[in-house]
Amino acid sequence: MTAHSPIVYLVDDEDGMIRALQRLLRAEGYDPRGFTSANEFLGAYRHRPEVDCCLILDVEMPGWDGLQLQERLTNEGVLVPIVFLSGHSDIPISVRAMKAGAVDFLTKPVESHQLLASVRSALARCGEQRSLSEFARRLPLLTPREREVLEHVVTGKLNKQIAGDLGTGEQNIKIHRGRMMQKLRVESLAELVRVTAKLGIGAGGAGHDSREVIAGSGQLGA
Amino acid sequence: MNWLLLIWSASLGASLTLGLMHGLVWFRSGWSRVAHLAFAFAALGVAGVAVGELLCTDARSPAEFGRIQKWMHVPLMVMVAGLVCFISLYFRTGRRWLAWSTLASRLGALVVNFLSPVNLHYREIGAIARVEFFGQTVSVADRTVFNPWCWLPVLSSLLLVVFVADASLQLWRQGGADARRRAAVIGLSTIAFVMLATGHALLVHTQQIQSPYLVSLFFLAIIVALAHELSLDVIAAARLSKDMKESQDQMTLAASAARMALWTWDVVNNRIWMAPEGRALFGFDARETISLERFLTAVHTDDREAVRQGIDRTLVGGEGPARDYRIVLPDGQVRWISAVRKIENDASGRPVRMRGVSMDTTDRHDAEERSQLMVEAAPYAMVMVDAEGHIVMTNSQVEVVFGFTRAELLGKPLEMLIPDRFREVHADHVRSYAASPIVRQLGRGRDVAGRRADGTSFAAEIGLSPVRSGPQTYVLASILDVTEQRAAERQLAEQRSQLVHLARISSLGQLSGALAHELNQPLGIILSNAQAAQRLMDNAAIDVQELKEILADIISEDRRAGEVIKRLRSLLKRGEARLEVVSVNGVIQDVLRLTHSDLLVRGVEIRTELGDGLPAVQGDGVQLQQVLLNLILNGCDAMEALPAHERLLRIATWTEGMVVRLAVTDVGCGLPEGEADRVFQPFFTTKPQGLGIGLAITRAIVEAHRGRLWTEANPGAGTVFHLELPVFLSPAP
Repeated sequence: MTAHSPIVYLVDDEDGMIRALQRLLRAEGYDPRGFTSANEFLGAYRHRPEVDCCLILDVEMPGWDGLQLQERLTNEGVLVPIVFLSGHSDIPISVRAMKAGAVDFLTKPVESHQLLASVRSALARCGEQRSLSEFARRLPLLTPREREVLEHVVTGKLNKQIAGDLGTGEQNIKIHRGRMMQKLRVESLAELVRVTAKLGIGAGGAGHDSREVIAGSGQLGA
Repeated sequence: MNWLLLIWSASLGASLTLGLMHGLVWFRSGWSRVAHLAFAFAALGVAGVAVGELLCTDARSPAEFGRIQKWMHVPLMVMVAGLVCFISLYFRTGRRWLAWSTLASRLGALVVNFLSPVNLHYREIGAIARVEFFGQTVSVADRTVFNPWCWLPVLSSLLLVVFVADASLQLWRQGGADARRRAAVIGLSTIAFVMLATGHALLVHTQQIQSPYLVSLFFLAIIVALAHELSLDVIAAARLSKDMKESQDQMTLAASAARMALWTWDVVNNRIWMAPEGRALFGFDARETISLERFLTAVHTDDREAVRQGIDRTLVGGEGPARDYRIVLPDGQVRWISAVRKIENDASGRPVRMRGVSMDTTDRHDAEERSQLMVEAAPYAMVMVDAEGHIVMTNSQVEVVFGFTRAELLGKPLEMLIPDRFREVHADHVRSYAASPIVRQLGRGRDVAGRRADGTSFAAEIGLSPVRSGPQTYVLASILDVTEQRAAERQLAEQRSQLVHLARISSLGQLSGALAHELNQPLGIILSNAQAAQRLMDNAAIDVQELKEILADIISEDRRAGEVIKRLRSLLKRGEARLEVVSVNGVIQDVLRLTHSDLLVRGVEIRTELGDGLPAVQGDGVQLQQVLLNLILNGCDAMEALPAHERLLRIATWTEGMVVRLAVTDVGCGLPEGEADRVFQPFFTTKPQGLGIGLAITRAIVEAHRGRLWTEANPGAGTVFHLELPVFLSPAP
């Protein structure tokens, strides 16, 4: 575990469960932090954009239960990926949880590889969300011409075609394209396409979507 | 005027009259009055002597005088024999040998008298002297030679005196005013006058005085004394017969009042005498002649043979009351008759007559018949047992229930109806019952086992009542075969137990999610800990402290899972209800542990106010857990519609006198008006998926614990379920 180890938050009313999961997660090199109620967690959580994190959440708890906490986090724009760990499998509840954006819905007793796989995918989602928000933050750095080039590039057009569409020379497009890639810190065309697809850029001018993503990474309780 | 003739004639007449009178009495009354015959002989003897003495006074020659005197000894003999017999028969005392000696010496004198030349007194009579005797000239013997044999009759007279004195003394000693008077009058007069007669005669024979014989006069005095006593007897007998007539009249009157018939059957002539009342009783005509055969025609044909046999038994000396029989009156009415008969035999032992009393006992028979019919019609077996435990009465149900016939049971010990293995217990029951015989009602008595004729036994319920009849105490037992009831009860209990089980499973079904959680929680912790340990082991540096902690957690969680399973098992287990000492607060805590997760899921907050030092109750802990589980789940269901933070269930316990009270209060929807008690009815439910048996079962369990369960509206909102259980009192040592 290092200063940049991914943080795994645990909310479960059972002390024993928290201890067991902490041991498991620590052994995997994560930084687990356990809370025995939703309130406790809400009081302690701080957004840390530089570190990946996720939440393992029990369903049945005194006070706020797991689903209620998920709803509140969503409402407040806290996009921490959630892995539910319930005492019993209940299809309606698991469907609700998944619809509300949960990464996974597991039941106790849970196999460690299953839990760790879910934690990994939750952390991956967290990383992705982090890179998306990074990308979105850089978009305004582009000049209008660079922005136009971007939108044309992600549709899969060749430089020559873009130059034709924009009524300029192929060499100019190459320069804009290079600057644009540099500003957005994108290594390859494939990555650019994937990220812009997620943000809805280039699919018919849905640029405002990116603002929601940016707003979503705001600090909780601020 | 010849007064001598007059005196002797009067004496003769008196003797004859008395003699004939008592001879007649004897003749009329038979041998019971044989003393009168003896008297009659004695009196005739006196008369004969008187005749002889009168003839002597007028004798003309010595030969005539001697002849008359000789023949006078015959009536003398008769007179003495009669007197001796009379005393013997009348007094019933006296020594036999004295009597026989008297008679023998007198008979000897008579023989000597006839063998002697002249007579017993004189060897020779020289002449007849005419002497003056109280102004009359009478003939006496003169110049006589004394015959020494003359002492023989004197001896006889002395023996007679001794005999009479002895007999009188014996009678006197027997006591009784009557007997003593009789001994004094007859004894003293006989002794005195016999001695006077003998002394006077001796003086005449020895010619000390010249006098005619006066023996008859002296003996007449004796006869008069005897007659006086006899006449007193006759007077007493007459009075007795008058009294008897009166008492007979009274008896007849009493007999007719009691509808009794007095009768006498002259066996020899086959005639039955019966008072008019008796004839009316039997329906005989007032004047018809009743023979035994005629009498039997009045008897009911079914009983006729038995009556004939009963009479035959009495004829040969059988005693005691005869069996009751029925008669048929001319108008066809049937009456019951009870009779007592007695036979009288003649001296040779032949039956002469039979006397008896017959009585109309129809009313008693009707009453008896009614009570017998009642006993017979009773829908259960009835057995009456005497103090020795012998069966004296049974009814027809006994044959149905036990399979024994009545004849097989009567007189037999009650043990016949009890299976071997219960006989000892039975003996104890009998002893304790004998100590305090009270009525034990059927159904509240004890359950016993009965034994049938084929040896099988059956469950029976028995009721007992002591019955006192005269000096005897009987016990009347009413016995009901409850085999079927017991089987039905068992079946019912079985069904109820199944239903309780079903209800338990159904409420556990509602809990199943929570129970899974309850188990999954520790299992999850164990698994995660174990797998964390595995991963730690893969590391190069093993953190031993961490591993220890992991193992400790695994162990405690494992135990926790085991506890859950144990509780679950005990709740699911279906078995006989057990009686144990149970803490109500303990039950509440157990159930709350079990429902912990479910309450979390349902978002119900529990607040308990459990009384300190609550006394224990007696019951089945698992069943009481079931009760509480149902009440808690019921309260949770009632609050389902409320927002989560308002769902509050309060559980309180406290003591109130001799009961432990428990209240489960919810703030839910409450019960509809007027349905407060309907919730306990089976299949009453307000829940869409409810079976409606939970609260019915709950109340059944509570009532089986002698407790009560009821509801009240909770002021504000919701319902209170009140539970009351009796405090367990430890049995006295």
